[in-house]
Amino acid sequence: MPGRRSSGVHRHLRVPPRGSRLAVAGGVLFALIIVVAIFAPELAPDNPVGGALSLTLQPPAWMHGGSAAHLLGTDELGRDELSRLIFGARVSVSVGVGAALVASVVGVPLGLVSGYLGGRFDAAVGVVLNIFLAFPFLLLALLAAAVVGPGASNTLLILGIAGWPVYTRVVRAEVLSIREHLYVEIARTMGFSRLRVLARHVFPSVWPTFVVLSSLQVGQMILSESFLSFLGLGVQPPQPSWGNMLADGQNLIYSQWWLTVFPGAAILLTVLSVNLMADGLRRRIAPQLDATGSPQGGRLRSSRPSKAAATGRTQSSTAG
Amino acid sequence: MIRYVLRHILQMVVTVWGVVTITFLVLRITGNPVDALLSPNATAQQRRQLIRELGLDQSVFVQYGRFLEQVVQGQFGRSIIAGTPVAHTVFAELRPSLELVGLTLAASAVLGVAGGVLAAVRAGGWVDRAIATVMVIAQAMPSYWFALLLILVFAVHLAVLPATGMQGASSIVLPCATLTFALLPYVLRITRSSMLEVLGSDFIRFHRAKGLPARSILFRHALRSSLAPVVAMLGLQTGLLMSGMVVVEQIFGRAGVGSLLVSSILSRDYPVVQAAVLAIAVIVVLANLLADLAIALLDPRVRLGGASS
Repeated sequence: MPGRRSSGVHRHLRVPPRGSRLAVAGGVLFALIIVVAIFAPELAPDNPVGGALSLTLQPPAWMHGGSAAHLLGTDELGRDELSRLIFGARVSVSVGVGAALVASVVGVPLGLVSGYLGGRFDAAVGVVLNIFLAFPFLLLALLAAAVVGPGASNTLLILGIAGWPVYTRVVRAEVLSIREHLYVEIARTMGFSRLRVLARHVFPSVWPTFVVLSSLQVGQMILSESFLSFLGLGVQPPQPSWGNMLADGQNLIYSQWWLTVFPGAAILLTVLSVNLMADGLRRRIAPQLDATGSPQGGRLRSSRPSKAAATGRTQSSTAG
Repeated sequence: MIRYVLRHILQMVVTVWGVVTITFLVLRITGNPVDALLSPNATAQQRRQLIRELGLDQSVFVQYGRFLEQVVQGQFGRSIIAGTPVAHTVFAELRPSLELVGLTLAASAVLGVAGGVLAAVRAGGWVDRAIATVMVIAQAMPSYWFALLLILVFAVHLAVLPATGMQGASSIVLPCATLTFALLPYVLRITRSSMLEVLGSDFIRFHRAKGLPARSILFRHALRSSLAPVVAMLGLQTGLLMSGMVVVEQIFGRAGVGSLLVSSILSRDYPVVQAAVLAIAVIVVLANLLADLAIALLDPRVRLGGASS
């Protein structure tokens, strides 16, 4: 590990200014969205759940018939769209970040242990992983949501528990190569317990991968939450979430386009900002992952050395 | 080659068994669906009768055994709501779903490979960067919102395509476009990186040195060698495609396994849910099997060396 990043090849891989500027922009935008989510009660101009029936379906302020009191118009119950969007950020951010964390709490230890121990345990984990990877994640979440019941905290837990395989797969692949490194072998020879070697020597090397993967997963989880809420199995009205606002807007798409466009744009911008940030992080600290967070492959020049490393890794793991 | 195929078919059976088991377990977490099915003021006798009919008075293991037996025989009992045989219902919905998925896979493969090759050949140029930008947006795009935007533009404003329903060939255009847009980033990215890798390899350099025309090198040699990862990616992403299908069928009011799944989940018609999930799992697993076979045909190293992962 030491000296790896300062070697000649990697200096060429240094993030081009263009890419890193985008990543910073993404990070700043996501930070802003988090701030909006935290201070929603202070920022929202109006009550997100209480509307006036005299004010239903007002267009945005710049359109004919709009008013400055409701910048982005009102929905079919006369609730202020902007306030609902602001409160919707709370749901998206908390469920997105929370679910990614829960998934990592389940998935990372499993990947660490399975990759490090190898043998039968690892083979069993591999079989289970394959099954879960064949089971579309969102459908599993859909099933679980139907059984457990809707609501923001249920959605968070369901997405988190259903989301473990991604972490296990990536961490396991990473550990398979790390455990062959000399420093891990030395730690083992010195008689440290398995737990200590894993926690103190292996895990720190997985850390960059973990950070990148988690940030990519936050984006995925935000999309998943809005997916469930859109289908009526996630966050329930009247609590505003971008997904259930979109479902409301869908019925009025012929006359009130803004009720469809704004919540969707909020989801897109949020996920885009997270993804840009995650991609920038990836290129800087975990270039062996590809853009979707999978090990192996990679981009442009980095793809060749990492491919070589990947094949070397599988060989050494079958030999060991 | 035969061993390769057999091993993959065995894996496939194990996977389908696993998915069926997970579905069974998830649906039994709540204990019984009786509370959801009966009105709150049902008598204790009605309750007992329904429990016996559904076999819920037996132990979980007995229920699981019976359920597996049914699956193997291709019988899933009757729909709790409609009373019709479940296997029939699901089978009838399979065709429109397969049409949509097949068309999407074909469109994504063609557009993704074309775009990926273009981006690889012009790597670093403005075409490459423009494609990359669109793909970054596509990856962050919620597919249900994209579907609504397409409806807004093509059905509401331009009025050139139907918003919902399944009448005529034109009704599949918007659903297919939605799903293709969701799948495209994955196909395009992997084509680009795989193509770049091959273009930088020794055997392409050899062909260049031999004096073969650039076009022949690109399409005859480079493209063929870089297709295997693309096919694998298409297989892997059928899972994503299935989730997209569920919501797209819902939005565009199409019949299919996806709409069936959502409506049966919402009405807690568990036999239908189980059969629909099984159908989707089989589609995903079959797609991966086909992808693996295609890879073995494309790349002799895989079928001879057995070095597949």
